[in-house]
Amino acid sequence: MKEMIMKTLKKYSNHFGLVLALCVLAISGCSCSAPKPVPTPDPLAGFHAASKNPEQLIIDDYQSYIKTLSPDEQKYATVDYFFEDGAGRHAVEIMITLNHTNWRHILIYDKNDKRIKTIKYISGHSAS
Amino acid sequence: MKTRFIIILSLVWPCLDLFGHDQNVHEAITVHAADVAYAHSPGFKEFLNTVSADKPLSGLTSGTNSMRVGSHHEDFADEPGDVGGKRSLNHFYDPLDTNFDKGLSDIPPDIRGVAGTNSFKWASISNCAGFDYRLRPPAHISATDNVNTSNIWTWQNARGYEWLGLTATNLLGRQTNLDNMFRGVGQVMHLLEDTSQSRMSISPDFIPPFLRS
Repeated sequence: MKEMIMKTLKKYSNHFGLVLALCVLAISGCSCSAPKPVPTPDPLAGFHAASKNPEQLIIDDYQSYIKTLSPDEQKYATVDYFFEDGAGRHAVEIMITLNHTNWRHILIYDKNDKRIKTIKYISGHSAS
Repeated sequence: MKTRFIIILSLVWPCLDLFGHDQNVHEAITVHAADVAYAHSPGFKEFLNTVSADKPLSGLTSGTNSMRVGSHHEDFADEPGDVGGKRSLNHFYDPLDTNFDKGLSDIPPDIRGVAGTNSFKWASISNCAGFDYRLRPPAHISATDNVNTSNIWTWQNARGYEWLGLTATNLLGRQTNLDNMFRGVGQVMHLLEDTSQSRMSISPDFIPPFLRS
């Protein structure tokens, strides 16, 4: 038995590096999130940059939304844009770049500043 | 030998981006610079006050926030809707170089050749074209090409947006262009901030997602 184990170890010792690299790839690969496709149609179609800053209700809502995210996401979350459309609706775009992946969280509010939709997707990647 | 080479490359590549400013660092530098400029530059303060009817001085819709966004987005890599491609290939400037147009030219393991437009050109020429780059072996194992790219967020582009932002006859036109102007300035600031780090190695754009740490 011992001899068999030694034989096997000896046989594969030349491939130790390869096995190690495969392990690294496997572990790194497992840590990736499943990609979320870019939604179609564009969730912000019909919206444009707002002329005024958001009302406090919306600020409170997106701040509490960010607090529901994981610690890593909270650390990198930035509120990039505030949008409005012609019908009194608003939208907030939160960008989170985590492990070089750009996540966009779109929060859409009705004309009473109540959040009616939350969309989260990977829009692309970043590299510094 | 080849196997060992691949293993070393696999282990070392993910570490390379440690040498670059993270996007949140860029954002912090940009916001701080804007605050300092507002406090100490009468011209900047006067300009912000002049356009404050169209662009609030603070908050989510302010010029400072647009600059912050720009300094983040300058690191985009093949982001849909962004014509800049792998932008960070164009984030290098070597003032002493005379052979590779002063841009990125050092590709692991030891390949010399132009791989990007230098950051001064990338920042200052209107709609600057990126260098068409196709990876060659052995680096091709994880790469996609970077071709037909351009930069619409240069200093000259920002000046164009400024003109439109000040002269458009409707509110939305002025706001959109002022927003673009501030974002463009933010992207140029990112390039300036990158010159504060000494690094001439290839960008982690080329690292496949599963290898990114």
